[in-house]
Amino acid sequence: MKAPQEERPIKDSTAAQVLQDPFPPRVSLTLLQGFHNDTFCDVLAMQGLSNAAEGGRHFISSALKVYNDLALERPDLLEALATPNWTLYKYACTPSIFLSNKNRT
Amino acid sequence: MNFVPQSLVGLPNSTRATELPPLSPLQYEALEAVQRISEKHQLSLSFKPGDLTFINNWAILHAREAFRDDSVNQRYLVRMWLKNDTLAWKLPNPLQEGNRKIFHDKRSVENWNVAYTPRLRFDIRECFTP
Repeated sequence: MKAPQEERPIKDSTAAQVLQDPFPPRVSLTLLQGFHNDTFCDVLAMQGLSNAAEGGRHFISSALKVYNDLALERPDLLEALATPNWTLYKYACTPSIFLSNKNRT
Repeated sequence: MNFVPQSLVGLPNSTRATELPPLSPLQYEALEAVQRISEKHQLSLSFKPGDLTFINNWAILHAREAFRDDSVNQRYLVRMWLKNDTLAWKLPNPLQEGNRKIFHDKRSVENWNVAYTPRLRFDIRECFTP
């Protein structure tokens, strides 16, 4: 016997076809990220699979040029950067920012 | 060069731990100088979807300008941390442990997210910690 309409379980087949994307596309603005190195890696490789609507360019800059400019302009800052007393967030190590040949193994 | 200012000064949503000693004014000035001089010599990379960039992380700084995603144009970048054991520069002691964790720790699994979907989102701290 056919159940009356109101007793049937509700099933929306249209909605069931749509796979839920846990991170649906959204309109967003992401702020600038200043110059940095990545932590602990040797070669950084990046592949852009799609571009933003606006902005998002990458810039690179030579650490050696920064070093040379600082050596001329502000040797005191260079010394500060080469001193191993920079306590990094979460790490129990205090590396210097400019690395030297000393202490390499 | 090991320039990771996010770890030193924090980010808006990931502030510097209060138990760490504060940076000196000279140290702040030095961080700003690195940013300023890097900008002076910067090269802009214009990559099209699919292009690959490989940089020596110990010799080259990188930065990214602000961007806006809309519902159609969504920035999607795959980042890979790679190492050539033969050619890699020898690192000073404080950096060896972190480097070893990334490349020689058998417990860490390789995570590849080259497929376009599903999108992976990483916790902001995970972005710069091994």
